[in-house]
Amino acid sequence: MHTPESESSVSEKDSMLEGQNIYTDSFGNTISPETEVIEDDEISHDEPTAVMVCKNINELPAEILIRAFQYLDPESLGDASEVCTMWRSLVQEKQTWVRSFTNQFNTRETFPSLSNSRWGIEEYRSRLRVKKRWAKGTALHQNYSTYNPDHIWFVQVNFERNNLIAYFNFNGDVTMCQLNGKNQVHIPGNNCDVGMNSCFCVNEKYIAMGKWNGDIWIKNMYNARITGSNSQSTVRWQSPRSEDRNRHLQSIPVPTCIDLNSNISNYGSNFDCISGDVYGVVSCWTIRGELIKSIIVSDYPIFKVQSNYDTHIIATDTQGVIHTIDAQTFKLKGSVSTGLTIDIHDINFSEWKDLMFVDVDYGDNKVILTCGYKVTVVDYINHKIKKSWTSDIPILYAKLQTVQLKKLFTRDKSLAGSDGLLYAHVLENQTVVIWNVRDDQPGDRIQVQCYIKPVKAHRHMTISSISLNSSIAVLGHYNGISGMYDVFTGDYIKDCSVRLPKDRRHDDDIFVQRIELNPDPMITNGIAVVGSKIQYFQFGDIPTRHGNKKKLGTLNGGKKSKITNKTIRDELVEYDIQEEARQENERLVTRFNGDSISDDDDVSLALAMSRSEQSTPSTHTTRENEEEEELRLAMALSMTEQETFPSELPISDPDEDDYESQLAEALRLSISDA
Amino acid sequence: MSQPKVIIVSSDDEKFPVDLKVAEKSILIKNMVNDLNPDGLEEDFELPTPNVRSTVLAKVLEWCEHHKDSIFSDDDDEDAKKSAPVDEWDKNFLSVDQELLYEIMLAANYLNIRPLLDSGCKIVAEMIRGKSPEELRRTFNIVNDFMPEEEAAIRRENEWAEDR
Repeated sequence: MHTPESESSVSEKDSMLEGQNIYTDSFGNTISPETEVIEDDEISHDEPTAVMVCKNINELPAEILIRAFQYLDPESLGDASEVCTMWRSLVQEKQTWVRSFTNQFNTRETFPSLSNSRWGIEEYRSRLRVKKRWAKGTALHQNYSTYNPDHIWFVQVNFERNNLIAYFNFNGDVTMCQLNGKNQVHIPGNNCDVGMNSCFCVNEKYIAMGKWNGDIWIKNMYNARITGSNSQSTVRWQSPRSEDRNRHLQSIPVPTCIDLNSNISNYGSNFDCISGDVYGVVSCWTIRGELIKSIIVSDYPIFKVQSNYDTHIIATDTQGVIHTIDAQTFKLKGSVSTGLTIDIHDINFSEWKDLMFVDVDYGDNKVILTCGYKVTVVDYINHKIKKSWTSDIPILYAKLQTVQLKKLFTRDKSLAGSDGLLYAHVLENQTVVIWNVRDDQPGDRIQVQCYIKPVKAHRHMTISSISLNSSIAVLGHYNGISGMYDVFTGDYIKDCSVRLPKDRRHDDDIFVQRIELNPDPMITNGIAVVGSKIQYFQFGDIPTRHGNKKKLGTLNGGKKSKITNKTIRDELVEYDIQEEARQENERLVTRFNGDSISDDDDVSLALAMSRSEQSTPSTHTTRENEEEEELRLAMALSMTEQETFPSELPISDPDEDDYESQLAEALRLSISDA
Repeated sequence: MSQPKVIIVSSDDEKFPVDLKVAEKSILIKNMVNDLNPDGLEEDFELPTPNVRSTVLAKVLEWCEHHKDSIFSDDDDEDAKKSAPVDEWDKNFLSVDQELLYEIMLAANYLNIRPLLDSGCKIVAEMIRGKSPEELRRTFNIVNDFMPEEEAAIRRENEWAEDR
């Protein structure tokens, strides 16, 4: 409290002047020792304190003014900052914004930033814009099926490159396409993978698979697309075996988890792949399968390996022990036991993934481990348990918010909202708990941001998937139905994806397996995966912030329009070729046809003639005059020709520019069509 | 014998005897009474507030009296109270001239009566909201202490933010 402190300091000074021995109690009141011994502990009356008078609002302590400002919306704060220097400095106080945001959006001190700005006002406007777009933007839903009729097992989406990879587990097939389902490319798995994967990981270019026989396969999908064969696109190698492993029943070091760098260098010389095996060994590989280092970290199977491929490798074993490995030296730095274990004897370990959830926040050096009823946050640098939370109800599913990788790898605390990161848990009673991983509040308990209960219409359905970003959370139910909720308040906004049309093939309800939101928090689109169908959803126009083409145009699925598009495109190309040929021809004609060449000749001829004429005296004056006249004319003509000739070049330039711009236009058109 | 009272003495030595329940709305008084009377209040307890004028103290105690049965959420549960609009009674109660309002807020701050301070702040915010900087200066009698170029820069900054 501001006032009592200042009061007390004043009174303290005054009392010192009086030479008395007076001390200040916790309420800011001065108590002299001699009054303390009085029975009712009376407070000194002779406290020479000034009566609080306040004639002007600016005489209020800053603390109180900030308290008042927190109830203002940022628009009014903008106006208030123009009033006077004091108000301006108060408006710029971080506390004012934090509180104003709390009032506006129900955010806490830490929340994920949308605008990446330090300025509260910009963050505020971005939030309003994005919120409006999600809630009120024109919705676009595009349903499509992959050519492969099987259920999609996993999707990998790159929104920036407009690229979706669907992975089918049963036959190893992969389908690549654009977000709206166009340009589907089928990469056959050649049935080599049937039921053979013990673990897998995909990124945009590679699929990494762990095999029950201890092999690791990495398939380059671009090569696979071109060659269509596994032998040319796949690198396979064996996990290292060592003799002292015989104490285990299984002698094969079956990989239990695998992780790929999302940004693999072209040369493949660095370590880009990490695998963990059933004997607690973590191995680091290049993308070509060269072993860089094998580290024994545990006596138990490794549950999950994760890395930012820069500083740390985080390996979690089935006993809930989190091991930190330095990614430069490959030395085990330390381990923390969370006490959360999964029973490895009962269950086939390809089903482990539903028992424990591990996510790493590299920007804040934290591992979030969820198992059963309990959530634990571990600081992997200092090897300490930071926070924990025990639910009364079993936790079914855990999910880190969708976020750009650079946001996950680094944290900039100076941003509005301190660059927070949200995390969601789905409980067995179909409630979602959202909290902030980067919450800096002291205490060892996780502070819940909000609870989301599905809206009444969705309450009878189970939550089959969840996805959240910096402004919304989407709960997937089945047949394409999903609800969109405010991630800070838990309020229902609208339906996110729409119900899919009935399919004769599948009479049963199909769960929404996966929802992917755009990691760019400003862009309001996403993907929902239901069975073999994919739904692309987009709300409002997509801002073209990076100059990339993001507008996906209107619906024009169907084969007919594709064919039409193709013919139009072909015709355009053909026209362009013809146009180019015509223009080239014209240019050649103007430059090298009779006129210009004969002009030059004329000039030299005329000059030569005039010389010869001058040297030989002539008798026929009339004819001479005539000739002279002609010569003069010819020379003048040639002069003008010569003068204009250089200017012909710049004339041809715009033609060329025009042609180039036409070409660019045509190219652009063809790209946008594609 | 009737309940012992807390007698709050204003700066101008006016005495305000109030029930403990009323006085306890002020966390400062509550803590002080509890600390100094660990066995509970047995007799009237005089408590000076040497920096609060009697007019202000009267208002503050009127508020406490009115809200003696109201239950306010704890400090920890910030979300609940913040979005709530100002209580209608508080609004009328605080429809006073600015000077008195500020002094009530100061007293509420000093005596640690959070709900009263919050109501006051909300009312001040209400007064600020939707006014142009010039109107704000007139309303609150604030002197524009910006350099002209400084002011222009700030305005540009704000406009730029609005355009985006």
